[in-house]
Amino acid sequence: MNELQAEQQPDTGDDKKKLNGIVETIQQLGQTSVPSTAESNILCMTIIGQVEGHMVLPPQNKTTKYEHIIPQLVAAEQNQKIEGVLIVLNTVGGDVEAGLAIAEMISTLSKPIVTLVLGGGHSIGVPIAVAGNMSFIAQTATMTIHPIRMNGLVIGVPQTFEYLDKMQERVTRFVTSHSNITEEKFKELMFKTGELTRDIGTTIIGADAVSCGLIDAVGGLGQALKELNRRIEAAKQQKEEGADPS
Amino acid sequence: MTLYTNMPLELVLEGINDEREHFVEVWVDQVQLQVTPVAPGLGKIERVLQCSLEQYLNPCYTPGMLISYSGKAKQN
Repeated sequence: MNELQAEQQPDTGDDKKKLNGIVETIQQLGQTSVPSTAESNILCMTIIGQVEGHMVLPPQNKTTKYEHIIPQLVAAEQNQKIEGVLIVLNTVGGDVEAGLAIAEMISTLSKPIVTLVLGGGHSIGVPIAVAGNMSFIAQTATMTIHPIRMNGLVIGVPQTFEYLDKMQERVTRFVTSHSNITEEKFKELMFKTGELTRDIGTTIIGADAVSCGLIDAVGGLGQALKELNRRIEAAKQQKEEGADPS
Repeated sequence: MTLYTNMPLELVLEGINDEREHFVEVWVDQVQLQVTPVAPGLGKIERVLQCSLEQYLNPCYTPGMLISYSGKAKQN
């Protein structure tokens, strides 16, 4: 009886801490427990909302901070337990420099890396989407390709135009060198008129992104993970063959 | 800074000049964080300033997470 009472009575600060933890979990996740995290050999990174760069955006924006993503990628490259990276995108674009920095980091990672566009991979999300070893797009996901607009002070019109043109060139070069789309086709999509109400450009949906060569395949999570695991196995095999002196 | 987004810039940049809460810098388990205080001893992580490389993979230190801290916080 005494034992039972002792069990039922919360005693020390440990229990209080645990209770606070549970309350916090309910507040944040809407449930009392989260699934236990078994060690995975895959790192899943999400690029959501605006890609935030040199300027902190107002709080109504959901942002992905590049200063956090970049060291995460370095850690993924260094960590021996991580064998592959899955990048899930649902972004509306953002800072050109930050987006290209992330895309460059992804493209130079030595571990297998698969990208999956869900919902949307717009504007600066396009180079990030094509940066991996293989890219997937969900059937209903969209990608908007449009010119870079001016935001800031115009000091001289020709100089400003040239600057924007160079910024666009950076994006175009990266996308065409990391996907099967040709420069002509990408620029045609970028400067198309009559499709977007507010802007020049094109919105491509799922299979259209694959048919123009921008994305490798239409697929969801299952296909993306299957491909990533296949590439991890292939990389392992290659390493073993390289290490085997015979 | 050049924004390349399909969202209208007036929506993205709305309120950019508004006064914002000040960040504080705190140390939690050898990780230096910049947080926005939400309650005494509780803050929302804005960014990780200094830590060992593997701590960047720790989901507890993801920007946007709430974290409890104690001790001296340096106001920015």
